[in-house]
Amino acid sequence: MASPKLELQREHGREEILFSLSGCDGEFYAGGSDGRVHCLNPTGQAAPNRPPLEGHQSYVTGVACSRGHLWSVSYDGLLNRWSIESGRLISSQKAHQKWIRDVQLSPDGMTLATAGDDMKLRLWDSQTGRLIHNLEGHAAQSPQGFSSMLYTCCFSPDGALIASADRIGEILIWEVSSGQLLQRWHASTMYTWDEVQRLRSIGGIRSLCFSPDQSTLAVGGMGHVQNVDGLGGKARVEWFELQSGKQVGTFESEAHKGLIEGLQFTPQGSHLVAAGGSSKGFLILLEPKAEKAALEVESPMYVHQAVFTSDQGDLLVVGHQKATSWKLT
Amino acid sequence: MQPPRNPPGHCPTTEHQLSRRLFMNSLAVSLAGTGGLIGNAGAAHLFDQEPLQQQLKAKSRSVILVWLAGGASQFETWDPKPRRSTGGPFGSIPSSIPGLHVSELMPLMARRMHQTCLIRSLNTKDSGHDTASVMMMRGRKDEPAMRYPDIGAILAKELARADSAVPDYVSFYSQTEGRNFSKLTPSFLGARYAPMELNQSLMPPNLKKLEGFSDLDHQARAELQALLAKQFAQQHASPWVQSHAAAYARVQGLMSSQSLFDLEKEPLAIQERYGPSQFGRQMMMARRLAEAGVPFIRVGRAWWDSHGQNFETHQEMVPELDRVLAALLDDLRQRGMLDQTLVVVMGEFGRTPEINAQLGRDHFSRAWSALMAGCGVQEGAVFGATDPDGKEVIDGEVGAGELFATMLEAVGISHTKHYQFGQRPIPLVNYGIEPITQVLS
Repeated sequence: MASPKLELQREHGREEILFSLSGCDGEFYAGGSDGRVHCLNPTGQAAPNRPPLEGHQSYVTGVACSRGHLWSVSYDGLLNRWSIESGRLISSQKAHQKWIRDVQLSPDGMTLATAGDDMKLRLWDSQTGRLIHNLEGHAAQSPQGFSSMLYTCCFSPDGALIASADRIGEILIWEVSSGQLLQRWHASTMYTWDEVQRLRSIGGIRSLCFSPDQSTLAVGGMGHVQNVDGLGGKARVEWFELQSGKQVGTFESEAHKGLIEGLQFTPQGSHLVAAGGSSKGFLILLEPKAEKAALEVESPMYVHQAVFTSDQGDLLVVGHQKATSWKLT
Repeated sequence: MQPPRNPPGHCPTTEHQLSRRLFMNSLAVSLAGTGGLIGNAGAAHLFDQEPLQQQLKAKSRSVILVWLAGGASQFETWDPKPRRSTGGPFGSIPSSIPGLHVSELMPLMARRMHQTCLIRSLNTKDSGHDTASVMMMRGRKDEPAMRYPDIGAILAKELARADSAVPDYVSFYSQTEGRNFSKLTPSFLGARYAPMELNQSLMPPNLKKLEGFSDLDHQARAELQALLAKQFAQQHASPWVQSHAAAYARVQGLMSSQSLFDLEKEPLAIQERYGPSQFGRQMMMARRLAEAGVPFIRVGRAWWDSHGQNFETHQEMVPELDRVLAALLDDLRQRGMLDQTLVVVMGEFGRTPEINAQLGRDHFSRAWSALMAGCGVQEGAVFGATDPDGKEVIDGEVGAGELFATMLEAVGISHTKHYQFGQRPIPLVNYGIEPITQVLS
């Protein structure tokens, strides 16, 4: 089998930082640092005649879309619902008391999950906007007594489970239907607390992705950081086996430092794409549970999110003041 | 209801009425101190240009400098720019000064801003940690042949109390990063005004008497030492011998103030207010030291250097700062100490308007903020302004020298005062530098 290749196709400069990305019927929506949601075409270019959606007061950190609707979340604590066709804001509700870090839709599109720094994972009926479960299990404070942060969540492929992960490296697995906490794992290396030099922390689990066969969960962040002034830890993925809860693999990049902000499997399910950055951005291709990368490339910007735009390996990537498109072959 | 304010640059006289004993002691130490300084500095002569009465009034004042080492972001504290591209994700909240907003991360201080004086127009022109730290502590750059004393040493000398058993200058800085950047120094003022640096513990080392060593033993030894020292001094009269005796007396004084360094003496409600963090406990200790008459205390909180993940760094650190600062102001006010204690909050610089790829902010000295409260400064004042993106000062630009001169004047020390170093007069601030009179009460 030929070695995989990942080649940069197009690069578009942007004024704002793009934090989040979701595809919907051939169009792609990216949440920005300007508090707006921007419509992009598959190459990352701004879609003509699609003005940005304005309805947030802070960074838009999550977008998700399904069945003609788009949901966006922001550090302003709002969960907004938009009509994709008209661009009209349908509803807006205060979903969390602190920053919202992520929004995800279940595979069937019926359940919406939001994760916020109030350390709550909330499940919503995507049709009615009704709160179904308020899941509390993440510690509000770090072991050192500072506020923790709940960064990310991810539905399992069958939609029965949802995982959530926080700053201090805790991963919780919940049953969607009942809201019951099933498992609690810890990836402690993802969190660095500097007691001696700087008296502060950095890190956290920034991305999660179930394997297509639902046997493992990939967890993304960075390894131990010597100097917490910057993102100097090695880009890191840990694999946990769902049934046993055991950690069954670890990848640490020798080539790239920084946080892994996004994880997703290729359309064929053979590889995991890990995207992130420090002072430079990166894209890393991994086989499941692998300790070495199949491919690592440098991105022209810090990457916040990547989404496949086709089954043929076309990848749209957004991040620090840029949107780029790539071809995986 | 607020207590009545005092004349410009002066603390309340009712609480500072000098007793005849204190007056005589102050006079005595003022004269003796001159001799001691000659001994320590080797070549320095000191003289005061201001009236003695003003000098003595100043001697019951203290300064607590909250040193935000590494450079806290003005955007995420005192000068937020919400919904600007430079502003970051945090919102702003109204404060107790009408029209003034501060970062949403500071709800406790927002309710106390009417007790403070905010300076939003610092342009200090140096963005290197070490050089900027030195400049902010000394109010100016050194010259090749002159290392200037820092603010702590100057105020230790100027505000030291005659009968004090406690140190005159204490610095807390527990983290290792940036600890030595400020290069705290009394310079030609002499070792008498060097800081007691408490980096590992809240209590000076070896303060406790040895096990099995009674107070009586301790007293007997002191008397023997005094007798021998007196005989030695009669045979070898010199400033150095005099200095040695003074230093010995201060060590004895320190040992007698052991309970001062015991935070468990504080009521639980006060301890709770400051919180359990190391920074909170150091600040509570700073208040105890100020109460006991230590003229200058620096509490360093490192390390704010957020080149990566600036917002999360401030999300973690600012709430602690908010809590601890609010606790300090409340504590000082409730004890009637705020009018005698100047609180200054600053670091070596602020942080860039630009947000880098790691969601960090880098070093920035062109437009940043400092906060003052208490003795000698106006309550509820806001001085200076930056442009809508926080990139430039657009009103009331001041530098390190002006801030330094303002601190001096606030506690009643004339910024035009000189020391004499050999044949050279050394002004406390560079010629041409003026205090920010608009913030002085």
